Amino acid sequence: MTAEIEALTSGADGPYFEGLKAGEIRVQKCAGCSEIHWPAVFRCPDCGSWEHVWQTVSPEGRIFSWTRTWHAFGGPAAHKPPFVSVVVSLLDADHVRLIGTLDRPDAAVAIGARVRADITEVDFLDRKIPTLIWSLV
Amino acid sequence: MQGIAGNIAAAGIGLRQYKRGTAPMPERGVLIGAIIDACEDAGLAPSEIDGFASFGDDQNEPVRLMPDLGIKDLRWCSTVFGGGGGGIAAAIGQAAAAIMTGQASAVVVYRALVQGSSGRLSAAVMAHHLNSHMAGAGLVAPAQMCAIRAMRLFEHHGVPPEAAEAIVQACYYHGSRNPEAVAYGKSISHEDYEKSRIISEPFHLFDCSRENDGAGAVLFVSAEKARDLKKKPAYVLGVAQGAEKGWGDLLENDDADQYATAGFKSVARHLWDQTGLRPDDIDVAQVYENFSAQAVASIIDHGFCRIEEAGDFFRLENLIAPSGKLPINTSGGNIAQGFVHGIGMMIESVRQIRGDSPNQVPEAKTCLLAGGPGAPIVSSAIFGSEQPD
Repeated sequence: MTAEIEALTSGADGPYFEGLKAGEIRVQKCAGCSEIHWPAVFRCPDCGSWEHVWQTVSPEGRIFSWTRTWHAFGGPAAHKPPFVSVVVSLLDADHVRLIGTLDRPDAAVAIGARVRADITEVDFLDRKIPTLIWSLV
Repeated sequence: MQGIAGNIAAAGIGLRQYKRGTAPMPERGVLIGAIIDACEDAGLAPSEIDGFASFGDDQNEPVRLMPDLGIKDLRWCSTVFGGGGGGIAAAIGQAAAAIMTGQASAVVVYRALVQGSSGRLSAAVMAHHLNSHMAGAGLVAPAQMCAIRAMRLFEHHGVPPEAAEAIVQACYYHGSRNPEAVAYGKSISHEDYEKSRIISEPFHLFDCSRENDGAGAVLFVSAEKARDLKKKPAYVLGVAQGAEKGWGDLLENDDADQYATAGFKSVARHLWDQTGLRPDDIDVAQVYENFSAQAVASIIDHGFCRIEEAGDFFRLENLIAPSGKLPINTSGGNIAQGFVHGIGMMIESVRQIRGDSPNQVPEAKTCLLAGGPGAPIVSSAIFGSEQPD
């Protein structure tokens, strides 16, 4: 893996990673019209506001899709193949999907399954990246 | 407003392809060779080229090609945004824009990829898209990003995995019959496919395209000029590119009804509207298959079958020349002909219209070229044997 990773955040989603470091999942809510935007935006496309608040949500969701990786593509060393990556729709905001891994590579994973997240950090390309590890509940 | 409508045509093609790591020259040298081949094919002096268009972060700036080609007057250089193959057909649209507005007269659409010069394509594509959300979840390769979409296509939407295998088998069927293909003389059985190692579920090794070294070039000129050159023109009937709201580099937050598509919802609509054609009017298709399931989704997006019909539609007999319902990837495609970021599929589109394919569809009058599926920006084009009235 020789790809250079982007800056840790795009800028708009910086508070999301700050939230993870503080042990919380926070999503972006427009201060003008209260619409939740994900991925995070600089400007609300619905009302035009540039002001946002970051709302803490429950670390619970449902699996929207998943893959179990068997080939060593050179991602973070913490994710040794086989491992399962998941896309999870949040229970508190079901149009927001977050990406993470499952805690067990042999889990009986299925779309729609309920999951709960823990927050951790992985090392990748000389960076520490906060990320979510989900468990089936 | 004047449409593309066959006002430009592909007049020359050149493809040099090698096993990864075995190109005889650095990337620019291989590319110059492919462009010279395209000019000789057309009967046009390379010095007459005055424009270039590319896609997928090609690293060869047109101005650097001028000395070797003897170009006197460079008038058009452009590239389509995006790191993947989604922009391949859009590059033809740029050639059309240049030629039809008088900004250039002979435009080469090209893509070159030699590992020793520009590294692994998969790494370059990911460098374009990677961010901390994905890397933290171990998602660092195009195969994984496409696998996670394919999983939803199969598990949630009920498309049978056999549909993806049919794509692979069709590519091998044609590639095994193409002397220029990496898979020439090689077929794979269902058992070979099933037993190949798993890369990222649901993908087996055979579901994934494998990179080659090489370069491809297609020379575009006005329809009028094409008729004065050596080969039968392959007219460009239409081109569409773009993305609809709810699609594209959204951290897996694409709209639920678009998530498991290949991203062509709006692009296909624009292509059919622009050309006045329908899926039934297409005789043969080159459907970019970075990964098998993405080609399935691309064909569904273009309206050749509905998602519920996928099990019936995606059968080998429907997908092969000469008489399948929709023969696809008749040179073997990225999977079995070779993968130079899809440029081989543009060249095969031209060959079908000329009647020169190793797996010719008899009297093919139209060929769809569907670009890299699943990319944030995708594009499609239709080539035709006649200029519409």
